[in-house]
Amino acid sequence: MKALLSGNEAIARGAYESSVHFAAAYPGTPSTEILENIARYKEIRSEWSTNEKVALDIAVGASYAGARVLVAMKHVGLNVASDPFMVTAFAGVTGGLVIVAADDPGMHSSQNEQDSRYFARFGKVPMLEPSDSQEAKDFVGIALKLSEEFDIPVLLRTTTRVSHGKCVVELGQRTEVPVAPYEKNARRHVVPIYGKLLRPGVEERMKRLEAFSETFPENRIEEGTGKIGVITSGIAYQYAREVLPEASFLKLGLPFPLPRKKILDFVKRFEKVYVIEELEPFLEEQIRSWGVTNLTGKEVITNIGELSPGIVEASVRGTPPVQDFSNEIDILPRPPVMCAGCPHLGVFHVLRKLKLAVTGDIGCYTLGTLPPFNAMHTTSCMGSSIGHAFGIEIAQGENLKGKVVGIIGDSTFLHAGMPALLDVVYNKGITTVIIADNKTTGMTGHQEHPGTGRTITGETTTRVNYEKLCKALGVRFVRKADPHNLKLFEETLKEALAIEEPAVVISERACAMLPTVRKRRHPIYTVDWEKCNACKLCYRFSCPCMDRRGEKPIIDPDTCVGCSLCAQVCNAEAIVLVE
Amino acid sequence: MANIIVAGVGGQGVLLATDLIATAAVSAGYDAKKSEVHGVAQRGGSVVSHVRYAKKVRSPLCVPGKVDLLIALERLEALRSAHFVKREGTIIVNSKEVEPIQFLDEPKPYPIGVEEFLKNKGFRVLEVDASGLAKKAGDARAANVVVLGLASRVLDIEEQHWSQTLSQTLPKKLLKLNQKAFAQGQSAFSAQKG
Repeated sequence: MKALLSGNEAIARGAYESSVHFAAAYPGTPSTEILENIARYKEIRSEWSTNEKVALDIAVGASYAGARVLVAMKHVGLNVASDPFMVTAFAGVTGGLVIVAADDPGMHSSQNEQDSRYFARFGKVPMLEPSDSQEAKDFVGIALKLSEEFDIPVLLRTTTRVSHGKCVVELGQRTEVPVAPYEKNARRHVVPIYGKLLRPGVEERMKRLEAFSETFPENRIEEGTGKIGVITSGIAYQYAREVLPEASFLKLGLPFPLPRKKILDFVKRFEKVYVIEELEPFLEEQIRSWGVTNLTGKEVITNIGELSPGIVEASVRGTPPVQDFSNEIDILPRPPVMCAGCPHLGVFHVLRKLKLAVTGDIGCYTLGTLPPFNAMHTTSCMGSSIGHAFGIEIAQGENLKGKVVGIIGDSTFLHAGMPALLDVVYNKGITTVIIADNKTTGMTGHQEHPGTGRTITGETTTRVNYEKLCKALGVRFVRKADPHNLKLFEETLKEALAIEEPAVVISERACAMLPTVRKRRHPIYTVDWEKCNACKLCYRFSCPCMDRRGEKPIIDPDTCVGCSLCAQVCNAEAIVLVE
Repeated sequence: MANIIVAGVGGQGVLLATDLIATAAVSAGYDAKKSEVHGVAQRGGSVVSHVRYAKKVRSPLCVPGKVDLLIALERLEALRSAHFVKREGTIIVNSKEVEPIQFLDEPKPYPIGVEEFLKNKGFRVLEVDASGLAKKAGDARAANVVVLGLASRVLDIEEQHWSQTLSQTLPKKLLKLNQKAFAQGQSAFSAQKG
């Protein structure tokens, strides 16, 4: 049977066919749909973990105890999970363990650009890299077998165009594999005590894997007719095959550890060999270190951003872009904006008004950095807002007293914010933190988390009580406020900033895009042009349902969700409910 | 075979449109690949999705200058992706304008004469009020299926595969509406040609 599947759907299907027993993840673009799709197979127990480190810890425990396991994350998630990851090669596995890391070249929805292939070398873990959905599915099964045969976890590295690209996949049957019995094996699994004994085994397994890599059929040669050789892997293989049909290819499905002999034999046959890889010269540098000189790689192919067939062709053939109209007609940019009725709109209106030093975090609310709010001063990675705010407070003391606030989403707070808030309490900070509780993981498309009271499969579970949680961490000032009540939200925030101790304001309102919110009946506003004095204060929410081209605003009745924010700031009382 | 790009604004149904094209192509016996982007990139911003079908497809992304058909659900977005289209390639433009939100002291005007500009570049431009036709079919949001109706007249995929794709892919309660929208697009194409 055939199906049109995305890389992420295919990985989920691969987990099903290969009898994965347990799967865990924290949502992150472009990896999110892997677990969403796995959760549809009732044969696999699945969970949204609180963060990637926790996901990997549970996965390792389940693997030690005999289960086949898949854990998925975006590239920066692997950074969070890097602590347990770096130990995994020492301890090995019992049930097969696959770690999926999805890179985001071009930073479509990420804070940085990172080549996670280096983690394979860093952690001495073998890595498979699929170039389309078929391979994404098949490589899950191969990874599990490799993992069990070589007693080591396997990294499955994807990139956006594999994760979110769709192609035809030949589906297979599910092969049932039982969970192996539990056995205590402290000499393998208590790594700090036995690390010195385990260390030589890490090298020994890598040697065996290198030998395996030489004969692995997915490290394959595709003979061409021309004089050019190409060494490539992942999505770059598809681009290169597209634009260099005459070249001979060495396509690496297992780009770590490399098949050294196979590569050396290949490069000898050509005058010129291109190494075509997205992001860093991961393959190129290793091959050059063996004394190979007839390579061309990063001197012509950029290491910045995504590749594309157009870029590969232009880089290899030295041809300029085909056509560019941007100098002839004004192609206005269209950056992303917060949605109509977004809870964050109210929060950022108040933050802008109070002219605070705002440290931000990872979520849709990072858009508060841009016009019309221009409110955010810093954002780095999951959970950093609270540490940044405390750090600014320490450095500036009296200068910025009562002027610093960290803002962090509900899911992000539960992921990495709690230890930072405890640090503020413990070290006698007076930091104010806004937990933007929109009742979901918004940016990645509405995943459940411990604050929603539902699991990945929609079952009800214990729901986090943020007030009690923050109080238990030692914060005495904890208040809830609706960010769409601008006056109340401003007063609550001012109170929090004024007291000389840690304070938490929970901005409580569900994401406007949640299906339950969208289904609700709501009023619609309109502008009474008689009363409107064209002051344009209401423009400053960047509401997508307000037409701002004319002298006075027009509210689109089809898209207005009745949040009332524009009406609240209108001094002329010109924005009124439609009867 | 064809290289196709669908462009629009977040929320206009760009991704569904390329899903339907890829499914119809596979049902017609072609190999097909598509590519898209999720996450914060989508929130009200520009959305572009590539789809390609042929006997065998390698890259899921189109090569600039080699796209046969650009389907733009919004006028400005037609302009943004036009450099992908080959000379004498076709551009279907929904005449709807969605003003990008700007924060300049003097906001730049929405470009005028987009269709003329594209025609002068040698492209075959099919302008259609897809949102209006979709409203006629029952819901303005079905504009993405109206433009597919036009596209079906340009692409070498037979009628039966389109109708099969619609009925197999779309939820039952939305099927009638979308079939009507698709037919509106088909007749709009015939009207332009005649």
